[in-house]
Amino acid sequence: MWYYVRKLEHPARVSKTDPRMAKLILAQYGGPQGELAAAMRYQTQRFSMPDTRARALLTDIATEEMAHLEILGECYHRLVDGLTPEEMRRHGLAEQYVEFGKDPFYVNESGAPWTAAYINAVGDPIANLAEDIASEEKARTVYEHLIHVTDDRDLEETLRFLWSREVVHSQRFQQAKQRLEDLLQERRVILPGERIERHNRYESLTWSVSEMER
Amino acid sequence: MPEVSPRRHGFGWGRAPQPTPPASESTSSTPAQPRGAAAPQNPPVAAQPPEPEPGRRPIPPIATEPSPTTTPSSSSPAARTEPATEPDSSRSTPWFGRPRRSRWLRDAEPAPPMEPSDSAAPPSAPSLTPPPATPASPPTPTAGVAPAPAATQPAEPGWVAEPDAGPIEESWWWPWDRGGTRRPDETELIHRLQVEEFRAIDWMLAGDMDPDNRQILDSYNRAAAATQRLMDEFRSRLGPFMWMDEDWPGERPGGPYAVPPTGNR
Repeated sequence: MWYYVRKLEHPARVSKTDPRMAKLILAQYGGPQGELAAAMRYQTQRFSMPDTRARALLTDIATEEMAHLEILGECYHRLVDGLTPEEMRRHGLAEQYVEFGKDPFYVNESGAPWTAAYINAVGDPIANLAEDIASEEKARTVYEHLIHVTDDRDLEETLRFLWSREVVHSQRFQQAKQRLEDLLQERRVILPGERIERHNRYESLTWSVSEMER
Repeated sequence: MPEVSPRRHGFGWGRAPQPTPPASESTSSTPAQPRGAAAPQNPPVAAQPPEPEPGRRPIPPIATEPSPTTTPSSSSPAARTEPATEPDSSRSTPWFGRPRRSRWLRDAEPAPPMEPSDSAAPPSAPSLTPPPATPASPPTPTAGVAPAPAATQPAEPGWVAEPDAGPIEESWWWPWDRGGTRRPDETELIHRLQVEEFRAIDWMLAGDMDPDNRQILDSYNRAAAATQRLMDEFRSRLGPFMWMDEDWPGERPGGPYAVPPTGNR
């Protein structure tokens, strides 16, 4: 369950209108490594995650990615605010304007619409976490490219904040993956009368050692 | 091998809680005393402090009252020079080790001395000095005996009761505000709210992966409480956050959702 608090996680700083930069920012809004893809990915991988901590982590990070999506949408709105259609057309935003007006839509910087093919969820916790780590690292790289491209100091500060959050998320996911691998490889003795359901990487195993078998 | 708390093995991966060993085993496992010592009269099990919980740091004993055995060591010259060399002990301790006071307050008024010195506080001397000698004993042996235990017993650097820090003098909205005298305006409130909420978010992610870490839990609770306090203050002044007919995040440049002025960077 979610509530919306009408507040940005980080201020969306933009010092000037920049339609070209607005178009490039859409890479993180509706792109394959964008915030929407990240939120949807973690949200749907959460249900089959066997570890409680990793499940909580997926939920919280998915929520934070939605907050980042809001920041990017606000940045886009400020970057195109006050522009005339003529100016948008001159700066290569004609297709964007014809189709969506000044709304940030879930397309990437080339105009390709967001699809669920960007994300993946196979019911394996290790594989899912590995994909999460990879997607966070790719998002970090895209943010670095955006920071290199922009000349707006205020927008750069906002992008730096988002970049740092991707780094933190990647490290948390690595922590969760390491813990899950350790748990899966742990050997232990099953005590009599104890029933264990263990989701292995390859199969689900159930042991039950009764008092009679001992 | 991962450290798994037995309370949290939700999926049957954690180790089962181990039965506690009997007391006789722990008695035999303790390091052997010298052969000549009278061990059977005083078993070491009773003398040892209670076993701390596995995940926690052992809590040091707190010296509540100066006992007559600790009195000579505290009045020894080595212990008396200690507060003079380090007047503010809170600087040497890590910031998470003790309740925080305001940095401004710490600079303004010096920290209370850890032990009252003899010259500065004569009225407190009777509580620390040993009780006067009984009138039945002759005066000359009393004067000779009284300094003797201080010389024989070295000043042990044991746990010293920390001075009471008192209530946290920190301002609730801005820790660098001296005593909370100023009333924050809306922009300051929303900036502070952003800071505290971000701290809560970051500690929450850390606590997801390490729920038994007490420092993470305390930090998260502190940030979450500050966030709640700030949001209450914000609502009491400007109404709920869910107004639909007013400005949305970042719309009005001078409003509560304003972009803060660019600081030093």
